[in-house]
Amino acid sequence: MSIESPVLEVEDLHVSVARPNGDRAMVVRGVSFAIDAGNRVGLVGESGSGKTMTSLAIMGLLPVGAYVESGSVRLEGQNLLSLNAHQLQRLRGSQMAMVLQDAMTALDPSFTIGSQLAAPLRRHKHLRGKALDEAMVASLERVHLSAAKERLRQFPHQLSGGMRQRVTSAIALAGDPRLLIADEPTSALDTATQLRYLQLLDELQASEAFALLFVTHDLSVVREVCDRVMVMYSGEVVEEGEVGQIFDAPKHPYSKALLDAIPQVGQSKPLKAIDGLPPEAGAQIAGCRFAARCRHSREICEKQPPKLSERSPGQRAACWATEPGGWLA
Amino acid sequence: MTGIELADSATPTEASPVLVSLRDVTVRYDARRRLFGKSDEAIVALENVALETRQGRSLGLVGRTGSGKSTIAQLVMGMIQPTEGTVTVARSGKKREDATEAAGSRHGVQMVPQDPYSSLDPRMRVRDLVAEPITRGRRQGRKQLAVVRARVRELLDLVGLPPSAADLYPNEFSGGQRQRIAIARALSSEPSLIVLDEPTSALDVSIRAQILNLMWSLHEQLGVTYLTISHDINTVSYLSDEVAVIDTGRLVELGPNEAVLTSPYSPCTLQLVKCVPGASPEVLRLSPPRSIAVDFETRTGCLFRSRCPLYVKLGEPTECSSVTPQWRTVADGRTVACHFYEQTGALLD
Repeated sequence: MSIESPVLEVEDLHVSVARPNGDRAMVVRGVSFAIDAGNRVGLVGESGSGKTMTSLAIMGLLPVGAYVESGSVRLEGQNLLSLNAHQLQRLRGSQMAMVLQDAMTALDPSFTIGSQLAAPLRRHKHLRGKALDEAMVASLERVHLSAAKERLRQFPHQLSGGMRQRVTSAIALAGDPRLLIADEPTSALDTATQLRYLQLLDELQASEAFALLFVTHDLSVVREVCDRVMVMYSGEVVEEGEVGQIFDAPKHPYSKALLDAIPQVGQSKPLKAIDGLPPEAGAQIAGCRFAARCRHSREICEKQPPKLSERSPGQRAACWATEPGGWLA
Repeated sequence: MTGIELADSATPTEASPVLVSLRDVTVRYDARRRLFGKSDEAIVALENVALETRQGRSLGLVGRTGSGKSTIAQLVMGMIQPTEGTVTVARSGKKREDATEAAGSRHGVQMVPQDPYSSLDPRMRVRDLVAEPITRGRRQGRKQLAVVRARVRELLDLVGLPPSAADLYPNEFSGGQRQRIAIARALSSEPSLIVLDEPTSALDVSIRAQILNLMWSLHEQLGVTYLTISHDINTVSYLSDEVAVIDTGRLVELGPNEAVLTSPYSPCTLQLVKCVPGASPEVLRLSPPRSIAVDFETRTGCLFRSRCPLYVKLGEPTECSSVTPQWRTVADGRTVACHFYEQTGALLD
């Protein structure tokens, strides 16, 4: 698979948001990554870290007032940023698709599951009549919804949260996209339902081999689904690596602090919390953006921004302290 | 799984006063009310729930969405009345029957709601938000006002906010800071019990840890007792001495925090614990969804059996489907409602 070009290639992406005073605040700063077919990449960060802006920029769905400043986004080699709205619209659903956090708002409450599922199948696969009916049932069966035929006639409110998320996944995958972006798909679900949904995603991904970008604030969920993880902080990727590398040997103090901040049963008290708050979006900071909250920061951290550099094969971090020769290396 | 480990002070100090007690509480909601006449269906939110929280012994409630956790919070806060049974809530040391007490005047119990974005009135200054439980919205004389202001400063300091915060409005604060304001507000009337309903689920991971630490230190400093309700086992475990597990309106297990969550007796608890992402993969988590019919109208037998891995493993015994599991005390002061609790541990083999 790796011989082919990656499904998604994002290079040096910068996204800005217009402020009321006319300034533009840079909310995504130089994000670069690639996802191969069949790979699953997690994008982790807190609110305001720029993870959702990154995924919306890829889909071409940035809200009014947000702009891609520079960089490139390539889907199967095609530069998405050069396309017009109509061309993008054609790619969405057939080449790339998205599953959102809240399935209740993602689905239209006034239309049946069937009519919402039929739309992408008609549009992208040009199915009509009996073939369409069969494809709809097959789509719902693919996401393990029982009694698929009856479900088609039901409305979103008649389904549970877990079922609704399955339906949105079925709709997203109806056009056989090469890239699926899942933005916090399980945050509205409770743990047992979440686990079942993650298992489904895992299974679908294995059989359909789409590239998966999984956006979440929850590190433990990433561990469940992804092969690789990128940790974002204040608009930048501060660390990336294999799931095992990030969880067992994080090389950025922020990733480490995030892992320490999750309580476990039998947790010793107090928890190691990260003091302070993240910098405001778009704040001008000379050095490392995490330095003000970092236990290990030294003079250089406040003066010069660190760059992503390799720590071990496949693992990169942006931190002066863990660079070769640094004080935490 | 290792053997049962008891938390340090496993035996509740019998001398400490009971703050909240639920005795055989059942809550039913009418479903599908007819235009004329009575409703023909009822949804059971809680069924024969008995619980007790004593001073200094924080209780955690865990369960799935819709299990009845928040119904218990509403009962304790006096927002709803039980259909059957009694809820007794301590009020400044004295006990009073629930029915005689107006819901709004429950000083002994306060609540920190889930979402700090919607729970604070955007048109009130922080000072007034924090003072409201003390002043109860009444105009204060000059002398009282000074006392109230001093108290607000003290409370803000306690939750780690600067005194200047008092003059600002909620929209000038981040989610974590707003939750601090909500905590200060809850503390202001010196309640003996604070109900925390999903206290950190609206917060980011790094902020969540700050708030959990704050709550824990308030418990240490002021002796506040918490009733924590969450579907996040780790949050509940962090703030609780004892844990109660609830499923479809019934209590299924109760006991010391770590003992219950590390070596559960009920398969329901086991499933909750093992569903946490990142918990090591267990055979159990992979048990496929089955379609075992449970009659939620008559509520006969164990209502967890449709999702119970033990029920399947034991070959769907008739006891589970016909006899409602009784609440039984097992060794080391733990209680469980499961016919085959002794075999739960074997699910992990």
